[in-house]
Amino acid sequence: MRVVAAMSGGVDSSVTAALLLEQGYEVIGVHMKLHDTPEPTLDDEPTKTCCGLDDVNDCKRVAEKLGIPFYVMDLRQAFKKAVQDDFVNNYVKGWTPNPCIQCNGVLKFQVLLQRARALGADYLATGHYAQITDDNCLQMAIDQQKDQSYFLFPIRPKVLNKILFPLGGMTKSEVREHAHRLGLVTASKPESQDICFLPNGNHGKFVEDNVEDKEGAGDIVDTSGNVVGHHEGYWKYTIGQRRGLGVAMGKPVYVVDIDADEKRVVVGENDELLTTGLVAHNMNWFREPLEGEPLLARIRHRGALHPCQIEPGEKDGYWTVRFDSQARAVAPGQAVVIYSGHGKEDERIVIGGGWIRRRL
Amino acid sequence: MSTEIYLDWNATALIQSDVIAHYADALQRLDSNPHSQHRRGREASVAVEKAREQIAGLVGCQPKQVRFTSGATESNSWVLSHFKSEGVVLGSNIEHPAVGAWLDETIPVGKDGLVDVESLQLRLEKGGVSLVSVMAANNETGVLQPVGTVHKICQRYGVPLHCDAAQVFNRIGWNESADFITLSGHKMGAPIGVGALVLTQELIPLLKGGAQERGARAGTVNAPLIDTWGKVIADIKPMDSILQQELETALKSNTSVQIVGEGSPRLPNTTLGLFDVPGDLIVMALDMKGIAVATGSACSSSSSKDSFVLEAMGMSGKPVRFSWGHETRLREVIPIIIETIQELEQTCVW
Repeated sequence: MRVVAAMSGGVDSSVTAALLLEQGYEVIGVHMKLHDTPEPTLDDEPTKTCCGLDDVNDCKRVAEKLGIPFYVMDLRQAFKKAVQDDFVNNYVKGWTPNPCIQCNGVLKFQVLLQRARALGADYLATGHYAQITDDNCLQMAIDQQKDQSYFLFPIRPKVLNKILFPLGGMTKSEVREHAHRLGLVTASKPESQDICFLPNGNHGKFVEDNVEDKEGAGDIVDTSGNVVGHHEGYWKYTIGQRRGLGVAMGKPVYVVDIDADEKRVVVGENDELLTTGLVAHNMNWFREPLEGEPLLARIRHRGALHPCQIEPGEKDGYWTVRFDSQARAVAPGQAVVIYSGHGKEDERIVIGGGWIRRRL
Repeated sequence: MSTEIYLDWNATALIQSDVIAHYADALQRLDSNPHSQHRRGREASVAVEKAREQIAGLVGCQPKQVRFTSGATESNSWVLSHFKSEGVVLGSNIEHPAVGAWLDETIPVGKDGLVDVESLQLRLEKGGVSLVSVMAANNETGVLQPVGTVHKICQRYGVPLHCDAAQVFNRIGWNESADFITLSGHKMGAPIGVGALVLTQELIPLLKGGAQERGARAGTVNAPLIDTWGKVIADIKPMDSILQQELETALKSNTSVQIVGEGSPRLPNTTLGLFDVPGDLIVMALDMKGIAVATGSACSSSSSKDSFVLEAMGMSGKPVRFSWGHETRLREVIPIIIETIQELEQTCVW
């Protein structure tokens, strides 16, 4: 059986390729070139993101060690359209995008999967920490600290049986042990942080560089509409943000709303971030919720699982999620992922997910 | 994985076994500094001068006009850096990046991949140009540029012409004229690391220090490498286009191919094809079957940039470049190439 292993240059995907090889698969390593972030030079900090030349070289060394073919696939165009443009558009709407989920949904599990199959591969494997059960359900990883099931909700159900997550049943420390055992150069490589195309984490600058109407400055107001400050671009803010607001109100305040039309950032107290539910759209269902099935909603990576009820929304493709108790800082543009409440706490199944449109 | 059939000759030509044997022998035989006075030094010096004569014979110039460098990139940097300080350096917009990086202004090519001589003339008319640089053959498309015509125009305006001729030798008999000519050893079949610049006037040295190469290029002269290049030059010969026709006929009758620069004079060892399938996928699928091809220029290490050459010709897409040498067993893999591309074309709609 032939499998394409997506290799970022990190320890997880290196071990993924190595394990598959040990399991008897014919493995082809593929690195996705997604953007033109310059190669790291001596003046840069040690690599924090992916897609640099160092990562490609590390991939090549791992591939050489394993004796597998390795290729760099140029997917910059698709990435720009599906991820970077979407990222900018979200911020322009006053939303908070999640480019990693978008990349998984489009680049990895559509474009790369299609290309893997064109190369005659039976499977696409990635180093994600999640599991696909024997009956084709997307399930949390064994390692709850690393579980990435939240990031994988847009995978189309019909392709789950073409995907392998060899690390889903392992802990991170086991993965590192394997890497050391196999003598992979990436064994001690630090975790990648941040968003891969934002080496210094500055999303505001990226939006500014790529948005047509660069005029994003406006007022910071309280929930009664009183102007309490000024900002240089509403797209620099995120719901729930506390730091860097530059307003002194004698009490801790947070961003509770972003009004893109008026270019206003609304601040309020913590209580004002609490909400009883949300409306989501572009839902992807792995299966219908069962009659009487307890459901749990997750609104951020590794965030709490909120018991909830769901119902189809007012418009086609829209769903309303009502939390049994309140949840904090629901941000439009982020994802809501619905898990089944059945079964053990650490073996939750993802039944679907979608993009948060607004809070209730 | 060992590559069985190598079709990436324009990135670098494979070194044939007799050349490897010659090189190994030369490393022993010519183990001294050619500028040393002793016998071993003299032997090395003689070998270098013999190779210099061979290159002079190849391009039709005096041996003293030939200066050895580390390769085409150094030769290009040398001549272009000199003239950049004297005015506008002008070149076609499909020059190799080793030339393109220096250009102040570019001359467009047409859809046929040929430099537009009228635009060149119009630009020269305006004045201020210190050097024109036009390549002999494009490394991606293989399209042969009208260097002779360009030279005549340049002469009319008193502007020297530089020609990067890295890709033509050992492929065709090339006898165009220019004021400066760049040569590359490894594109002809020598080991990587040696090249030359043919001069008609002395240039400001790029590498300063010792008085090697008539004071024009400092650095210990690499006698074994130069001697081996001489061995390669002694054996070079033009290729015919029979294999190219066979490959292109097969591609055209069985795949979605569009041959880039098809109607133009081209190198007989190069076929650049655009397919309905992205070229990088074809490269991968063929590599898995032991056939090495390229998506275009190999000269970008990390950023697999889209082909600026295609863009200059008003085209877009990710092409596949097939390029081969005299001994390449291309004919026997044409069916595998066709089958692989057909499979990809049938798999998906891209």
